[in-house]
Amino acid sequence: MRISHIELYSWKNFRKANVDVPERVFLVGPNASGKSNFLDALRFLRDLAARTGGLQRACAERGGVSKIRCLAARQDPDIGLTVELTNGGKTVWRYEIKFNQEIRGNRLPRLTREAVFKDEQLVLERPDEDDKRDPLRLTQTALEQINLNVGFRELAQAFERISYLHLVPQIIRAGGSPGNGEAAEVYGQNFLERLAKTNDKTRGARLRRIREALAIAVPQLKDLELTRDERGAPHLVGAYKHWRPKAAKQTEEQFSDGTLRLLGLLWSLQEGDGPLLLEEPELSLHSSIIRRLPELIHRLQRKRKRQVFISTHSMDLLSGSGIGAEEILMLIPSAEGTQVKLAASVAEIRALMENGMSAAEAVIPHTEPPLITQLELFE
Amino acid sequence: MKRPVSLAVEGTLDEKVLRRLLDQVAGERLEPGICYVQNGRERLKQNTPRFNQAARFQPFVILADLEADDCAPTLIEDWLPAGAHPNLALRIAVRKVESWLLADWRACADFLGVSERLLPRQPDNEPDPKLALVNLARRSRSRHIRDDVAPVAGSTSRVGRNYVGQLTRFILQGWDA
Repeated sequence: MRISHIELYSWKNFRKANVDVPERVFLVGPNASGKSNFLDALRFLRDLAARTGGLQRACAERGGVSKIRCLAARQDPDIGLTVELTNGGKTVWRYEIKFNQEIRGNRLPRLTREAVFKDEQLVLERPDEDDKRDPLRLTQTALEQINLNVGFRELAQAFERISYLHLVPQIIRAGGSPGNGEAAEVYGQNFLERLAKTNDKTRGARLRRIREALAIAVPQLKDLELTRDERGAPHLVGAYKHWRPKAAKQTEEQFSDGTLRLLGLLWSLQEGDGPLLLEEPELSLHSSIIRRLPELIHRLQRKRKRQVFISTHSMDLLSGSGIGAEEILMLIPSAEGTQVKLAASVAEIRALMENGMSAAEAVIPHTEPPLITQLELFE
Repeated sequence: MKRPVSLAVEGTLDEKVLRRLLDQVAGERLEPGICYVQNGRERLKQNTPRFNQAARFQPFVILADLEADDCAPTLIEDWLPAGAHPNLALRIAVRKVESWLLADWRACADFLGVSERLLPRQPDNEPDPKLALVNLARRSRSRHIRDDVAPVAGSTSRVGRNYVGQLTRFILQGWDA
């Protein structure tokens, strides 16, 4: 199951966005155009459905409703998300949520609409009679409640499988006690713990593939494996070849930023099966690797048929072959909020790419900040 | 209503020159938008037929350097053997865009901090106007210009570390397009 359609209303940078999305999506746009915030809308759905999540927590983690609401929004105070999920080309599910916050009291986030459709048939629509009798119910979605989501548990589970990856080497190295905050999950604080918890056979198979890839990208590093120190904390250990006959042992604390990020990327691409959100996978990597990332990601995802969303600033990444204008979402900021446009919807870009120009050359110029050439005068 | 037009050039300085020229000659009629900066003449040549295809949907102005080629008309024939789409204008700077900058010799001498006598009166005849510009900068009274525009001795770079910044300032503020 994959996400086929996304609508955002008053969501952070986006006053209104409405796009169809394919199996692989590249998000491009200038700094602060909302690439991460677009991905965050999908993470929000995951947070609603997650076992430890729900509307209140998902909003609180984002600093409250007023931090989520688009600054360009006018009268309508509601924030809204709508997604459609398809299974083999047919729309199976549609989920709509709108919310704002209580006007008085604790100003808790409060639903103004929640609706679920299966094959265009209405499964759930709120507020319903029960909600009218007990308005406090509107502080929770049906999605987050096991006894209310019986009729669409498949949808809740699909949201729960969305995963986000933005590994920060410094955080992986720092490690520390595994918590369950954002740093732990998405930035890699418990990355090593996650590795250690995977069963031996699976971990062995994944690490073997990572060793094969690293043998090409970082040939000095050999024999990568997971060990535990005397206190039981997991560490990645590799042999670093140098001029002495015996290679020196190194742990993740000595690995370079690029090695750690590549390692984390290769691991994550081998786990899970829901949509994967990758934030700037090009960071710290050599351009020869970046150019090959789109195909590498595709090859590692092929078996799992996992949908991938990739935010990027990289000319190298988008210069890879096989990237179509129908896979690229351009985020263009304006006074009315960021506009989201499929690159294939611009006739000029279509013509350039159909005649053999790479996505990098055809699309990136369209996403430059309008006054960028003034930067030359800055001193 | 101004007509939107896309641009394609070899480098960032060419973009600035082209935007200033368009503003001067067609500021009321054209609205230059996206600029495809190609990082080199070969890439621009390679992509020109593609821009020509895209010109069906969007007018294009392309600015290229003639460099060592014979003359502008044969270059256009070479780059677009099937002819240019009516929506596409391919314009050629004889030898290099820098010769257009040298052509405003009063302002250029003032910007470079050299005597007007040193500037070529026929910049189109300069075999390498960029080199001519850099060599003039070496003789500048201003240390800033010497350091910024000319490369340090022994460098493999053909220009100084703030060549684009200094020339941008000139194109936007000093040069009479």
